[in-house]
Amino acid sequence: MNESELKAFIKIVTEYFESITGQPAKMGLPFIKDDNTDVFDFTGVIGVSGTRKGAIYLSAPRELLQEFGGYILEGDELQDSELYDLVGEMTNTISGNMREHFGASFFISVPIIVKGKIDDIQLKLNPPVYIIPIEWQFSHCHLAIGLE
Amino acid sequence: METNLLDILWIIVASCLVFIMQAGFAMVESGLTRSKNSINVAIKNLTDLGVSTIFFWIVGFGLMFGSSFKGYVGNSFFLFKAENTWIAAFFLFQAMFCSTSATIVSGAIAERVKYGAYIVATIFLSAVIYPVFGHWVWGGIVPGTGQGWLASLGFVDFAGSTVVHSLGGWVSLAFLLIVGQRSGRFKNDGEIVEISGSNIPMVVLGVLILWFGWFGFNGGSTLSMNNSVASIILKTTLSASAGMICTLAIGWPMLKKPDVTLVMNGALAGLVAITAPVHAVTELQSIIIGAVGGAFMLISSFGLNKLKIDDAVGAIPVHLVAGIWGTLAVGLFGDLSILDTGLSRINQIIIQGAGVLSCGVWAFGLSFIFLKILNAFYPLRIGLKEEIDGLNKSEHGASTEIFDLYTVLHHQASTGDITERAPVEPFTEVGQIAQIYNEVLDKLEENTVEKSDYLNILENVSDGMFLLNNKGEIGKHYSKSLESILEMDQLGGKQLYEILKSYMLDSNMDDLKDFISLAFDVNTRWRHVDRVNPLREIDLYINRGSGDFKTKHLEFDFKRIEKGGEILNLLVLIRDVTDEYELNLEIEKTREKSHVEMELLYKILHVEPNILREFFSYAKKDLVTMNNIFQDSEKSSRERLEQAFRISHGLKGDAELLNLFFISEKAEEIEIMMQKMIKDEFINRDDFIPLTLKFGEIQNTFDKIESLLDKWAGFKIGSGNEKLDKSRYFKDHLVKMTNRLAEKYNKSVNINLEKLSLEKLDESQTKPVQDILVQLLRNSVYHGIESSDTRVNLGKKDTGNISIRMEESEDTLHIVFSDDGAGLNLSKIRDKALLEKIITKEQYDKLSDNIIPRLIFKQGLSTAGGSDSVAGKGVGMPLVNNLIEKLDGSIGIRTKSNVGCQFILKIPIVKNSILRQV
Repeated sequence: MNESELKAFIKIVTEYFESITGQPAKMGLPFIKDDNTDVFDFTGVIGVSGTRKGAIYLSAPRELLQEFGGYILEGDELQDSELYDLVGEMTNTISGNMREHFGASFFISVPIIVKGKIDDIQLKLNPPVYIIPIEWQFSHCHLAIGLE
Repeated sequence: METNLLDILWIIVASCLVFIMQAGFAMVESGLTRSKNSINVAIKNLTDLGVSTIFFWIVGFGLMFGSSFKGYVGNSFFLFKAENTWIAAFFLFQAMFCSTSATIVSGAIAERVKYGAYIVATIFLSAVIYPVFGHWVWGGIVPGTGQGWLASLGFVDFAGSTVVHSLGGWVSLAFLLIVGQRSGRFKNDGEIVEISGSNIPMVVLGVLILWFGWFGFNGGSTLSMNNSVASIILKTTLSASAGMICTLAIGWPMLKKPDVTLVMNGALAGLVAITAPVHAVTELQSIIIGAVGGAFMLISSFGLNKLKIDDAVGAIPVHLVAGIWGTLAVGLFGDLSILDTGLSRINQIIIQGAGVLSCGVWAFGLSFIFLKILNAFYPLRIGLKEEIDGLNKSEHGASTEIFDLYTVLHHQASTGDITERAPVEPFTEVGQIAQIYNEVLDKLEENTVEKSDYLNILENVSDGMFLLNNKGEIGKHYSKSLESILEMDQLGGKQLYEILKSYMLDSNMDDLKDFISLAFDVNTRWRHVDRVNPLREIDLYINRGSGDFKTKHLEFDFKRIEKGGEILNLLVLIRDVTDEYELNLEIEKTREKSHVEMELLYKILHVEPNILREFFSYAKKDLVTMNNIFQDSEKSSRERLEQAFRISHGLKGDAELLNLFFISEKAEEIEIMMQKMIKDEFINRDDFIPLTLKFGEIQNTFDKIESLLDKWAGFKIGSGNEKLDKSRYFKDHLVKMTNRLAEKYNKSVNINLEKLSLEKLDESQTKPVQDILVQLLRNSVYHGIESSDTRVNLGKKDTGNISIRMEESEDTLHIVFSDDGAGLNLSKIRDKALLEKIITKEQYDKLSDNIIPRLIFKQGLSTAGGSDSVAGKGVGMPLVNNLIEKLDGSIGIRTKSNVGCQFILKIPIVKNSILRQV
């Protein structure tokens, strides 16, 4: 994993937030995932293979998703099933953008969405896993990158 | 009766001609039916001749020509005896007529009726139906026998349009209504299914024979060789010709083709129609009668089809309908003077109609009742299987070559066994077909075996194998393994490119397209093409659907399949070498890992394992702490950086202490990065990315060392006193570190650690105290101890002295770090603090000399001329301060210019530590 790849992943995610909502998203201070690093309420996992192997995930808390959803969906508070779909939509677009960017060297999967804790994330991520907090509006989510 | 031999001769000749008509009927009927029934149809024609003749002799002739009982039936001449020549010839002639009438039925009902039932019907027809009705019309021909009732009314039927043909047609209709249509003749929606005749040329020949026989049929009906015979034969021919042409003229446009039956049945209809009036009409009238007869025949054929009455040879349209028309034509066109009935034309027509009607009532009514009763006791129809097999076989056990061929084909179709061969009857058409068929079978079997071998290979070969066409599509047949290799079913016809697209990186895909197009380019030599095979060794990434991939390592091998200079296909072989590849990869990784471990081992081998383990235990904790600091969003980025900076500095010091330069260098890199970030007015978050990556690198190194140490656990030195060892090792490393630093800065330094005893410290205090001493030592060698020259100039010994001693009071440990160097440069410290904005100008002015030394604990303050791995970052002393705070201790500084500097650490003695000592 090198600096330019890491920056590209972060750029794809922050630009996605801004392109959809018009509100800028910025990177928080990155750190390395440890045993105490939890995922948020909803997580979209994107598998990566090719010249790099491992996984990337975007994990977001309910409140961020509610707010994000407000920009693209009308109506009242979103139900969990709708939030689930929303994360699916978000990670799908993000993985598509990643595919566009890294298509020649990485193989990027269609994401799978998980609600709540995920035990097997560890299995797919290749350590060290870099956690990039993405700050957007008054909340933040995590972009985790664990590639060989 | 006077006998004229010429007349008798003519009657005999005419009888022979009518006899020949039996052959004509046999040929027409068997030719128009399917070959599986041909024998049955033909044999029926022969049978009805014999049976009808016998029964006509027994009873028929008597009923027809015997002495009339009130015009209804004859009652003499039973078991006929020829009393004279003429009557013998006459019997012969009439017997042939009777057979003709009977044989009409055989054609109509062909292909579905039992042979026995037909014989019974023939007996009834020739013994009862025909002679009784014949008596009504022709009774009295034999002189002195009276007259039939129809004849006495003036009904005229010269040669039997009604008596012979219509009567046969009526019986046929009754028969057909009872036995029904042939299986498969009509679809459910009423559409006709054509049943082709087996031998049409034979049918044509049969018609010609019938036509020829008709010369006797009509010409002989004069019963004498008189002047009218030739005219009758001429008109017979004209009518037949007109019937044929008219039918063809109407039918051709309607059916959009000159159907064979139009020609033959048209001619026959003309012949039947002219049979009744031939003696009393002109040539032109005979043409009209024949033409209309043909037209009626055609119309009635369509009508029968509409009514789904399945007349196999068209007997009803030809014999019944044309016969009725001919009979009526007697009244319409007949020369009344020749007819000599004394009736007006209208009456003649009425009488002709009455004759037709009476024939219908008698022949149809009686035969229908008779056959219905017979059918109840003895079913007239054969079973479906027999019908399918054909009457030749089912009724007569007789086989034909075509039937034998059919039997073999049927067996092959139903069992799938193509090993049996068709019987070959040489010198027959069917035999030749059978021979060629057998040859085809031989070849097919050979190909099937070859194909079977080929399919067996495809079924069992472990590699993926298939043909690829120039569109990039996979061929229909491919090896079974291909589906498991590509993890996809139904690959035949699919694009290889599309399949691989979902498994491969985009960059490979572009190359593949170019490669396939090049592979089919005849102008490019194969060795050049093969060289650029982009799939020679590739990785396929198969999405398992849960966000992760299964990687397959495959080898593709392409070969051109050429024929006549044209590239037909590419033979593609795919080998799944994943296991082999992964094994090699694993070996390579293990080798690499071993190499890295060996390198690491060389780097850490000089450190005592327990000390090393302790170092990494603390170092990992430091890393975790730094990582946690970055996660602490409560603090500002700058605060987090500064905090991490101090920890990193400590880590570096520890590493240096143990000569672990590969770690201290990484820590130094982190420090430089952090220092640069801190110095910037605004902290750029993007700069954290390389920093985090560096952390990741160090963590990775630590993980490797940890794994190495785990392996090394078996070599752990069994020491009696681990605490003592640690203390000794620490002191040893302090000495080494002093020497290293002295050498680095070209100084001469001696360190005295005799009164340092780490055993007095609690375990929790050891590491912070070590860190503090390391920082103080680095500081002292760098800042405090002067170079040897300076020292000599100052009147000091050229070698500087550093001593660390530990003293103990009631509840406090005193660690005194002293050097005889230059002491703190208070004015420089004060200036630097102002420069780094640690103090204001006002504070600067007011600062007393005993406060200034405390400034060295401020972050960012360094009096070093420049920055290197040992000094200059202004982070060492703040770290010392932090550690002392953690230890709940204090630090005092005593300094005197050019005399030296002393740091006095006071650390509370931890209770359990005391207990342990006790």
